[in-house]
Amino acid sequence: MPSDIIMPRLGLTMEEGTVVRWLAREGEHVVQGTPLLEVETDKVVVEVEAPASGVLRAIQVREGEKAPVGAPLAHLYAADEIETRKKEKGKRKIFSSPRARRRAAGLGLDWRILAGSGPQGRIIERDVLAAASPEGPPPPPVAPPPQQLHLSVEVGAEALLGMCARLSPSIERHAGVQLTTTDLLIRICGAALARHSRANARWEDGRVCLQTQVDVRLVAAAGKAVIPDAERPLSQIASERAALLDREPRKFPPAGSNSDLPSSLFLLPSVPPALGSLQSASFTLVDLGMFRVDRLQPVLAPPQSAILTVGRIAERPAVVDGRVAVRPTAFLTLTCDSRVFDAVLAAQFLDCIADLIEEPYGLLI
Amino acid sequence: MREILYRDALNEALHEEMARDPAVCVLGEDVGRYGGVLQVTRGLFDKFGEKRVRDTPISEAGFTGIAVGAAMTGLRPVVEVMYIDFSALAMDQVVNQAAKARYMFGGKASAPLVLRTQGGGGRGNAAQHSQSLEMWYVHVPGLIVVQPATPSDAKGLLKSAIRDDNPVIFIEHKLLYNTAGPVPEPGPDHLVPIGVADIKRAGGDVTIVATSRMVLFALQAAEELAAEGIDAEVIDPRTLKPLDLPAIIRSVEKTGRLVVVNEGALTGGFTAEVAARVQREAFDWLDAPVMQVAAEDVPLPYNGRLELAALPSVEKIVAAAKAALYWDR
Repeated sequence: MPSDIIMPRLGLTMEEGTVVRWLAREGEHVVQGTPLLEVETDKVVVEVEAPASGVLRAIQVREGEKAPVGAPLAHLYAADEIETRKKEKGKRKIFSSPRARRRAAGLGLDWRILAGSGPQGRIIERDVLAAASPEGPPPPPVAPPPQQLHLSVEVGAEALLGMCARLSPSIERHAGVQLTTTDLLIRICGAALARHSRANARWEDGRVCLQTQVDVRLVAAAGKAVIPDAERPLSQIASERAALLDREPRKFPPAGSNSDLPSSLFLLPSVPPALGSLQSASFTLVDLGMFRVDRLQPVLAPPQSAILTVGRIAERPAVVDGRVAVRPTAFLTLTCDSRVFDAVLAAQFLDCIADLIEEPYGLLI
Repeated sequence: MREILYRDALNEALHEEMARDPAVCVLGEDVGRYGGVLQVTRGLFDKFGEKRVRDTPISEAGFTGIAVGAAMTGLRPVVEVMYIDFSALAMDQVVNQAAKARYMFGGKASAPLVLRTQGGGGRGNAAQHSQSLEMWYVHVPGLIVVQPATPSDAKGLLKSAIRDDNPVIFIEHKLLYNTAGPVPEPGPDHLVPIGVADIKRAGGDVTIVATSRMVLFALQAAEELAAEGIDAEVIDPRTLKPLDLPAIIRSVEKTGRLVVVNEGALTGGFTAEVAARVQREAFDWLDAPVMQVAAEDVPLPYNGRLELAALPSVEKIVAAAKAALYWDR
């Protein structure tokens, strides 16, 4: 930030002073401690020294003009500050609003060296005012973050495990890959997105963008990948998943190994997903089946509008036909962007996924 | 001040002007014995008689043509076209005759008629009875186009329109007739000048220019924005042509942000016109692009939910104001 040169108080009763003469010109480099300007009070003329070294800019009070004590008279920019900023800015077009340029001209500021807070770094009026204000900028109004909806349900997993076991040998024979419950979950999420096309949407440029293709971004122990067109036959999904995740370096040890898990679990928001990995998917499936995790409230990855975690499948007590029985279940947790989903759509969507997990033959309907 | 309905404010204006000036007459479909389908001409027939209040056949071209001729030969007719959609049938009379008379006869003739009609959607009246066609008339030199949003403006502007020597297209909104608002007691003339905008709500952060029923939407949006700390100024031009551009510019100089709201279709519409004028006249005062809120470019659907989706809404105005303030980032 530039340092301000202000009208000094040169006596106990002094309230304003007159700039008699600037001893340096605008744009000139001055050294700390050398005389910079002459100020006249009703009693004396005093030389005022430069408070810092730098380039004199934005003289606001001209020779012969008066200013109250404490008023900014000009700015001093560190030489390298100007150079680096100009160099940085020289690489690309600087966007600025007409109002900001007008305001900057009025204040004698070089708007090109300011940091813009508008879209594409556009310099807008508040940026100019912030640079000119000695106290720094008033905090800009910040739009509240999107509201999120969180829904969860426990589902029975016998049918899912059963189907996986039934289909696994033939898929291995056909496609040469091992079918996992993850593949079934991808296919189920794909079907649910296709059946609730309103849910297959991203929030982009301030509006709901419906997606034409059903892509599911997968986050699992083996890595992360976008499975395109998650409505294809299971053998293709399994092959795609195996190809994508085997190609990507395994950042995390497979479950069951003794090595420690990295401290930064890959879902932490401090590790934002690379944009490329999001591609066109509107939805993320987080399969934590390999970990001893029952529930995880996931963090949305904008512009995606929904993310679902599936915890481990474990035997738990459940009420079946009026009796308590032990059966394999899993917890689903869905987080949605409330600008894309209302509560009813979110519930219908989760309900559809839960139904298909409990009765995967529904995929045939 | 007493509060009366928009409908009754218009009715009062007609009663007062007909009593004041014997040249003022009313004609249109069902405006006489029945009092008008919107009851705006109620009581005129009984008070002023069938010569001055004429029921006409269903022929917009015919009765509008009669009104243009009557206006050019000394009367001050107020013609009612039941829906602005039907005014398409009278286009030649309005555009090629009324609008041109004063110019083409070198000021020796004029056509001081008022064409009263109503437009707008939101009532499930479907595509042929819901249009906002004000810009058709704004585009024609020689016409004045007025769109009051409140009962007070409705009365004051109708009286001014009747007294004006130019043809005035006076466009009401079908969903405003039952809205109430303060209107001065009858007595001294309550006149609202043509071509003067009104600041319906003062504010410093963003300017919202809105017309007709959209003024009510804009005021509601301003309340919602206020709850989030945004202070919106709402300006109603009241007259679309001639437009009170200086009033809009003054506000933009203050706020640096502009949202224009109009119920007509987006393309070639009022919002584009205002945006173009403001960027030319006040470019250096703008801190953000001018935002437009208008109807989608579709024939208005009959289906209620689709109709609402196609029309501007309070929500859309709030979103546009936030975008103008870079709150959507």
